[in-house]
Amino acid sequence: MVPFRAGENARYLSPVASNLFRLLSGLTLLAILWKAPGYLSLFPVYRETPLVDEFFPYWLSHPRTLALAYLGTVLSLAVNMIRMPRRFLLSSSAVGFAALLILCLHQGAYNDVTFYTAAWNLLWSIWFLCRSRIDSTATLLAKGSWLAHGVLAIILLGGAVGKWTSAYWSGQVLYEIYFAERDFWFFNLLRGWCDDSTLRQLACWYSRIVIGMESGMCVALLAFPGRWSAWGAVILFASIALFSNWMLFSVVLSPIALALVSVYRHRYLTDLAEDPASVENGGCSRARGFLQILRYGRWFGSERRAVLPPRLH
Amino acid sequence: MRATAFEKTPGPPSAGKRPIDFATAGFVLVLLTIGGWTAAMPISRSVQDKALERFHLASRSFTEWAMLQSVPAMYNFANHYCWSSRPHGCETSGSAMVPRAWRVEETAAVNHFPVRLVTFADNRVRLLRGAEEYRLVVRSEYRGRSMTSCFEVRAGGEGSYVLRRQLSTLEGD
Repeated sequence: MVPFRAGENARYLSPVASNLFRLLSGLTLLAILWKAPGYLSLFPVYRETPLVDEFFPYWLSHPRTLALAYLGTVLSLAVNMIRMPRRFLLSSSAVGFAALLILCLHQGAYNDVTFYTAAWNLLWSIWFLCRSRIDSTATLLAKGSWLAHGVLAIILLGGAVGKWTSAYWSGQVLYEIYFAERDFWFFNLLRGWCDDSTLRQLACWYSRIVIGMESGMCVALLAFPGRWSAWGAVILFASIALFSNWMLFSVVLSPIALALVSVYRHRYLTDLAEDPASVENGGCSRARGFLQILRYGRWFGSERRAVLPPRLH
Repeated sequence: MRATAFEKTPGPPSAGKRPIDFATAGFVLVLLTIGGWTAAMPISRSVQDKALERFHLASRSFTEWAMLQSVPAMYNFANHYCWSSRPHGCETSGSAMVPRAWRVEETAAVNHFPVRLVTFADNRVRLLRGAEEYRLVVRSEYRGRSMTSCFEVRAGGEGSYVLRRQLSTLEGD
């Protein structure tokens, strides 16, 4: 067994912790960038047709604030992808979290759940970097996956609870939003196959399945904090986007990244039991191709990692 | 003397007092607070009212609304809107979202935050087509409780528009 030490991540994150951190930051960055084309087309509208609303403070309805906060989030997450001292990463994550809070409160973006789910990831990152100073990698991953499950459960609970109402149970809401007119491959296919009454019945069952899956997965994540419930959450979030709206990937990529913390931890423990040396070197000697990227966030060779200066370990 | 010396002998390093993990405790506290509030929504009328007010930007203060933004609300409630360019007053009541005299130009369901129809830019170009005044009526329903709000959207010069709430009513059991 590799003797993991408390404080081993204090100056620089260990290879295992660093790879997880970059996997999370990378997927969150992808989620934010998923909306970039949309916001690039919206910024001129915010600038040329401003909406004066006394509810929002002036600076939280100004397009420049929106642009700066968006840019700040992107830069912060991009910086998090670089291998740097822990304190720099902590500062960068704090800036990213503050920028996301602004986006969650801005008149032009408060309704976009992309920033809400990304903000949870940044909060988790801040926690991760704070505890890295003290905890060993093993403890960090154990606590981190547990907290990640908590965050995912809260996000799913919020979605489920708001649908526990007759209009969703009957399928009427999702019929109106998606089944009636939405131009998306799944609904176009259904409209081509079914008449309106069948479509309404399908909307009813679609809605009930969504409610059941969100509620059930929320319970499962809390009751079974292992990798299988995490994989279930990944499948659920991915299916939400695949069967509703491509743009929803901007919302679900961040929770998918959090769910992968548990998966990563399981792989780490498995590798530790089978080949401790590879784990100390970042777990790269055994991992290959796509699996390697999935586990550690990047594809690298073990030789290079093995000759890193001691302070990086 | 020997006993005193023994008492002063330090214990092994691992026997020291374990420091409190404030970061994790704080994170858990945040999760419990938000989770508790969210779980209370189906049963608590006051929580439902706060959530409906949040959706209609009708919270008592911006600070209250900002606090509520920490609660997840994806695809919550049955939300509908009506958009009209007739400059009538807002006399919404009961199940009728808009008076019959209104010429409704667009009505549809919205997944969440129904006022985003004008606050979010993707619809502004389509909806604000040069008229001086518009009306936006939004309605959200949840477990027998509903909220209807009427907004005036008026041209403010230099391409800008002013959004002003005229009426917000909470109804239901």
